[in-house]
Amino acid sequence: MGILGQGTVGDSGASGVERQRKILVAEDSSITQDLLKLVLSQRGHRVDIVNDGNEALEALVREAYDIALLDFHLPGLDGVQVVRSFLAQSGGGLRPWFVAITADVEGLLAHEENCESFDKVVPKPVDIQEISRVIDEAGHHEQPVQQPSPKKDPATSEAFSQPELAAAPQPRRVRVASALSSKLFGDRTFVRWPDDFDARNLSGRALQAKVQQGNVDALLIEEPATVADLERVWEVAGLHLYPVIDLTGTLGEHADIDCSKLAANETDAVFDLIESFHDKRARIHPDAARSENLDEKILGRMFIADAPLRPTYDGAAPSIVRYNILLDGQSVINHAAKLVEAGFLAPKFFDRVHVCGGCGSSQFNVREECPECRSSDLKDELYLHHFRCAYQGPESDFRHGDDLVCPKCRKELAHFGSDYDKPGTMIVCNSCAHTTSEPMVGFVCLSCGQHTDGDAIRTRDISRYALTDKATGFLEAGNAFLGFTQQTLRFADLPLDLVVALNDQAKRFNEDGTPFALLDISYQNAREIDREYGPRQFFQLRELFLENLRNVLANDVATAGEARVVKGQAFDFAMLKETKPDMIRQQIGLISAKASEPLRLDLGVTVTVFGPEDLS
Amino acid sequence: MLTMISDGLNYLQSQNVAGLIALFWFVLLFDVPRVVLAFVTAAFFAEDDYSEVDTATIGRITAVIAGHNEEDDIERCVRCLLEQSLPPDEIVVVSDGSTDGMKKKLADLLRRGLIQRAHGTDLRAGKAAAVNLAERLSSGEIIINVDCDCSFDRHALRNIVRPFLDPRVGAVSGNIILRNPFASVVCSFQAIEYLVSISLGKRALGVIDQVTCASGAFGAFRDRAMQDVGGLDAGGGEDLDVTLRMRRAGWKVAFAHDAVCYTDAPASLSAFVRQRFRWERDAIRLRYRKHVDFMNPFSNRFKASELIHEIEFLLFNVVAAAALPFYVIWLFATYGDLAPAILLGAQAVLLVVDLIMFALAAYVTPKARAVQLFPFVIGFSLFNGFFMRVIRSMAYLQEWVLRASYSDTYVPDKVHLVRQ
Repeated sequence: MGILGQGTVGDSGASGVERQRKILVAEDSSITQDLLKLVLSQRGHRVDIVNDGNEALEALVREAYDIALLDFHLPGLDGVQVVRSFLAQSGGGLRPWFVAITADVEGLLAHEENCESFDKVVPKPVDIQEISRVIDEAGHHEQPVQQPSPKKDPATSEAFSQPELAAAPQPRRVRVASALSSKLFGDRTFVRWPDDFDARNLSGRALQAKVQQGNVDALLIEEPATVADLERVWEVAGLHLYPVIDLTGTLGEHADIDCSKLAANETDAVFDLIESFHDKRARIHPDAARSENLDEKILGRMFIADAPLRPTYDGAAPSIVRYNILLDGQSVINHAAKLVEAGFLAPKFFDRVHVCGGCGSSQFNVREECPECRSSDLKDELYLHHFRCAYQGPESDFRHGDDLVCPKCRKELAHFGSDYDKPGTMIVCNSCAHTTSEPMVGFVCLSCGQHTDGDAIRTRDISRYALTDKATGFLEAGNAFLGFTQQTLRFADLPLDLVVALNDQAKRFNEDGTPFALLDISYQNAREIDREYGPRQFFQLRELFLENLRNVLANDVATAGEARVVKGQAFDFAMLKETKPDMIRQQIGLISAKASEPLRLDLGVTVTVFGPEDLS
Repeated sequence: MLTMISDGLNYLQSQNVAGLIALFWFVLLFDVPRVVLAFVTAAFFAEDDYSEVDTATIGRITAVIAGHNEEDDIERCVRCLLEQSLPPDEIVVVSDGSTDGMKKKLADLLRRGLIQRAHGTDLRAGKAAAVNLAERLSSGEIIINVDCDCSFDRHALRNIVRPFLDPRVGAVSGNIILRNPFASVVCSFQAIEYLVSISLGKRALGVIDQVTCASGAFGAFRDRAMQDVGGLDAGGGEDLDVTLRMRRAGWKVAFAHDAVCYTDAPASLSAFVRQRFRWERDAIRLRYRKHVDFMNPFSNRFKASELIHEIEFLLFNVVAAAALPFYVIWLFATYGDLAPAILLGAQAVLLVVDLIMFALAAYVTPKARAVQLFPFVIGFSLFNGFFMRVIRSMAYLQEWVLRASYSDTYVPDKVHLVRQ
C-alpha cells in the first residue's frame, strides 16, 4: 500500500532502509489490528494478521516468521500456549522472535514459563513507538531457536535469558531497611535497588516492562549506593521519571527524599512526593517521556521533579558539586552546557571553581609557593636594619648565639629602635634559598597531581539550572512544539481513531483516487494564554474554536464529504473526506479566521493542510 | 656711580700685565685653571663608541631601583629600562617603607613579568639601606642604580656597562642631562652647570682618572667591588661615599659620557638652594670628617693617587668659596671707589671663561641641545661665580659648625641618631 511512507511515523530513531521482516500479528481487537498493520506495513514489513490462538499456531507452523506479536489473552490458545506448542512442534530449527502484548505485565511475568517463552513484553495499550523499537531490536537478535533449558533454581527463574547465571544462585539478602520499607510502604509498588537491578532477579527487559506497565510508584534505594551504581536508571526507559526514595541516606541530594533523616510521623512526605510525581508525569508529553536522549531525559526529570538543578558542594566529587539528580556533577555540567546552548535551560550563577587542565577535576591543594622552584616549603623571616651602616638582612645574618652582631661592621646591636629595627618580613624558600616578598599561588590537582600556576589556572562557573519556557513547552507538547508549522505529519501525535480513519481514506484513495484532506491545527499562543489566563481558559477557548470550526466546515465550505474534527493532545485535527486538499488550502485562511472570530482571545491558530500525496 | 665705573675702567686701562694679575688673582687662581684643564684633557677625549657590548664578558646586568612613595613613577621608569638597546637581565625594586600604593604596584609589575624581584619594607630605612636590600635580592654581576624619576637615552645602559670590559673598573658614572632646562631661569642655569661640571668636568677628570662620584641617579657598580667595600653606608651622599671607598680599595671609577640619563632639576630657587645645601654638606662631611684620613700622609688609609681630586676639590670648591668674601673686602679696602669697576672687570674675565667652557661642553655633548642655553650663560656666569660660591660657603660653615647634615630629611631620624 505505502501511502504512509517511511519516516512519517514517529521519530523513534529508526532510519534508513530497514530489512523487510515477516511479521505475524495475533490480536483479537480490530483497532489494534488496523493500527499494527498500518504502522508495520508502512515501514516496509510484511504483516499477516490472525484473530485467535489456533490461527496463530497454524500460521507459525505454516510459514517462517521473523517476529510474532502475540496478545497474551487470545481466544482459543493464549499466547504462552501458542509459543509452547510451536516450540514443541518445531523441535530445533529457527524460531521467530516472540513478543507478548499484554495489559497485565506483572501477571505475565509471575509465571516462570511465561518468561522463558517470550523474548519481549510490550504493555497495552499499544504504543506505536514501542512496537517499532521492539521490531528494530528483533533485527539485532537474529538467533536460532534456543530450547529453553529447564530451570533448576526457582529463585532465579524470573530471568529471561541468562541460563548461565542460573547455575550460580545466591541467597537473597535480608535487610532491616527493606523490612522497614515494606511496613511503611506496603501498599505501594517500587522498583527496588539493588534487588530489581540484579540481573539474577529481574532482567533488564523485565525491569523495563515493569516500569512501562505504569503502576510503579517510585525507585526505592534499600542499600548504600553511589550515583555510578545507579547508572542503569537512565537506561531503563521511563525509570528516571520516578521519585528516588533513599532509605540509606547515602545518596544525599541526589535522591528526592532521604528517609534516613525522616521522622516516623513524616512518612506522608514520601506519599506526597510520589503523588506529585504522578501528577507531573501525567502532564509530560510522550515524546519527552520516552526519549532515549540523555539530555531530554534530564529535562523530563527536572520537569517531573518540579525543581531546578541545584548544586551543593561535595568534597568527594571531582567537580566538587553534586546536583539533585542521579548523575555525577561533571555529567550534569556537561549536559547542562549543551542544554543552555540550545535554550532549554537558564543558568543562574552559583560559584566559580578552578579546573585542572589535565584531568578536569576541581579538587586542588591551593598553596603559596616559591616563584623560583614552586616549592611550598616557605618560611617567613624578619629582617633587620642596622641604622649605623645601612645593612639590611635576615635576622639569621646577625645571630651570634644570643647576640646580634652586624655582619658588615661587626658592631653589636643592643638597642632595638636605636641601633636597629625590623622593617619587614621576607619569605625564604627552604628548598632553593630564594627570598621573595610576594610568594606565588599555585594549584596542585589532587586527582592527577598536575601543577598549575595561579595566573594560568582555568576557571569554570557552576550554575543552578532552571527549565526555560521553551523546555517546558517541549516537555508538555512534544517535539512538535519545537516547530509549530510542521511540514510533515507525525503519526505519533495522531489520536488512534484518526489513524484508523486515515487508514480508511488512504485505502480509498489507493483504490479509486478519492481525495481527502487532513488539517493539522496548532495554537501558537497556547503558552501565553496558559500563563496569563490559566489552563482552563485555554481549554475553553480551544473547545470553542473547535466547535466553531465544525460549524464553519459543515455550513460554509463546499465539501462533498463529511468533515470530522478530532481533538488531539497538543494539536487538533480535522479530516475532510472526498475533498481536494488544494481547494481547502485556498480557503483555509478564511475558514480559520471565521472560526476564531467569536473568540475573546487570539489563539494564534495555524492550520496546515495535508493531502494523500503528503502521506505517501 | 657711572663716574665711579668710568674712573675704574680708566684705571684698569692704565695697568700693565703685572698690575692686572695683582688685581685679578682670584679669577686667575680659581677659574682660569678650569679652562686650561678642560682644554688639555679634551685632546684625549674618546670618540663616541657605537659598537655592541660583549655582555658575556661583563656578566649579568641588574637594574636596581629603590624608591619611597613612587607608585606613580615606577612603571614608567621600568618600561624605560626595558626599552633600552641593551635591557637589563633583571630589574629589582625595593619600596622603602612607602605609604602610597607602591608595594601593591610592585606586586602587579611582578605578576606581569616587568620586574623580576621586588620587596616592600614596612618601615622607611633610607636610600642606602634600601639599595643594600635591593642589591641583596639581585643576582647580577653589574648593578645599575637608577632613580625613579630618571629616564634614559636609548643606549644608556649599553654605554654605561662598556667601561666594565676593563676588569679594574669598579664603578661607572653616567652622564646626567636636565630634562627641564627651560622650566625656569634656575633650571637653565642648572642645565649649564650640569653640562659644564658633569658632561665636561667629569669627562675631563675621567681622562686623568679622578672621577670621584658615580652618581646615585645613574651609576653602575661591579657587584664584587660593592661587596669589597661592604655596600652603601648610612647617610646622605652615599654615592660619593661608596665611590671614594672603592677608589681607596683600588678600583677604578670611570665616566661614560655617552650613557645619558635625563632628570628633572628643582625649578624654584628655594628648592634648588635646599638641594645644594644638602649636597655640599654631604661632600664636606664625607671628605673632611668621615674620610679625612685619605688626605693624611701618616694614616694607613692615605693614598697618593687620591691627592689630586682631594686638592682639586679643596682648591676649586672650598677655598674658592671661602676666599671670595676676603677678595671682595680686600678690593674695597685697597681700591675703595675703584673696587666695583675691578669686580666688573673680573666678572668680564669670568664670563669669557664660562663662555669658552660652555662652548666646549656643548660641543662634546651634542645630546644636550645646548644652543638655546647660550643667552643664559651671561647670567650663569654671575650666578656661578658669586651666588653659588656664597651658598657653598654657607653650607660648609653650617656643616662644620652645626653638623647640619645630621638632620637632613633625606635620611630617617633613627639613622641620623647613630650615624658617625
